[in-house]
Amino acid sequence: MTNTHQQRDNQSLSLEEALARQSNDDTIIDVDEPCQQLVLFRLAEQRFALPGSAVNEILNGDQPVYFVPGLPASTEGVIHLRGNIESVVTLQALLGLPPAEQTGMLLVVTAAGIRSAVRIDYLEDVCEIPTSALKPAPDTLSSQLMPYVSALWQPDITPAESGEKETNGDSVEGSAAIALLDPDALFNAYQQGLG
Amino acid sequence: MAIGAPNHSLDAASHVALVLFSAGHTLAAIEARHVAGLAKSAHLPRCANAEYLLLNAPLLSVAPTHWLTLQDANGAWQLGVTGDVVLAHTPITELFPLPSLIAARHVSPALRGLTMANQTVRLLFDGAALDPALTLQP
Repeated sequence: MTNTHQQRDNQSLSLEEALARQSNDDTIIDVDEPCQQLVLFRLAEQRFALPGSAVNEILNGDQPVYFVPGLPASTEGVIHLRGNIESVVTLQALLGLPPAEQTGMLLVVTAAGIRSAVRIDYLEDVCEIPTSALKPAPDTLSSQLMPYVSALWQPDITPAESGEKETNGDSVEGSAAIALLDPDALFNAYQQGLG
Repeated sequence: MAIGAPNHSLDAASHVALVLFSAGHTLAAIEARHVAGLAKSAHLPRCANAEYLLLNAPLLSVAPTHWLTLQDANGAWQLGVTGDVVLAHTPITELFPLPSLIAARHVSPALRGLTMANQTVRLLFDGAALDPALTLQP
């Protein structure tokens, strides 16, 4: 055996050591950190999220929606989804946002014992974040948003990661705080005639 | 009343007899057991236009062409409808309960469900829950 081979042998691990190291590596990940899945989306250029647990399905926004006369403008109608009928609602009126101008996508949401599709402008991501990253909604939130926002999440995006220009101090374009919406509050408000 | 297209199987447990009509330009239906008759004109003191009563349409886009006779606690009354009036035995597989948010927000408390056939929605109303004197709130 050459010196090179001997050096390599000295550096290589036994199977037992390798498995032990792998096992040790596993413990480095903090699996005990409680996490929450979020579905991130945009409405009227603003960033929102819904808990992943409330979103059953994500559909293309070009599903045929059947108009049902006698409903407010915030209720678009119904879709035929695999043998069931689901309502399609928009959140803009409830949240005090301008009406949408694009078909976007549909989130099928279950909350407050109700299932309905919700139209969004743009689906950004589905991700899991530590619950500790969610901050209480500030008092400065608009009065129209306040009843429906359960928390804020400020994603940690560095200028290098985002590839965007730093605008001031630690704020980066495109990293605006995301408002986590309370789906129960939204659907309860709809049922009560708001929006 | 015209009879709808014949159904191959009229098993009572799998079909519901509906009277199909239009309320203005909207397709609608009432369970046939609530309809006592059909007339070309309104002749009872109590009557209401379906487009207004069912949909709260502010302006009548189409004048009634037929008048269905319904019964309530105060006696007979007439519902003015448009288009063809057809008795149809609709398979229960074509009937859908109303989604909760639609039920909560629709102007008519008598709306109970929907049918979908040929990519068209038809609104199903409870004939017993209709009140010709009702003023709907948008």
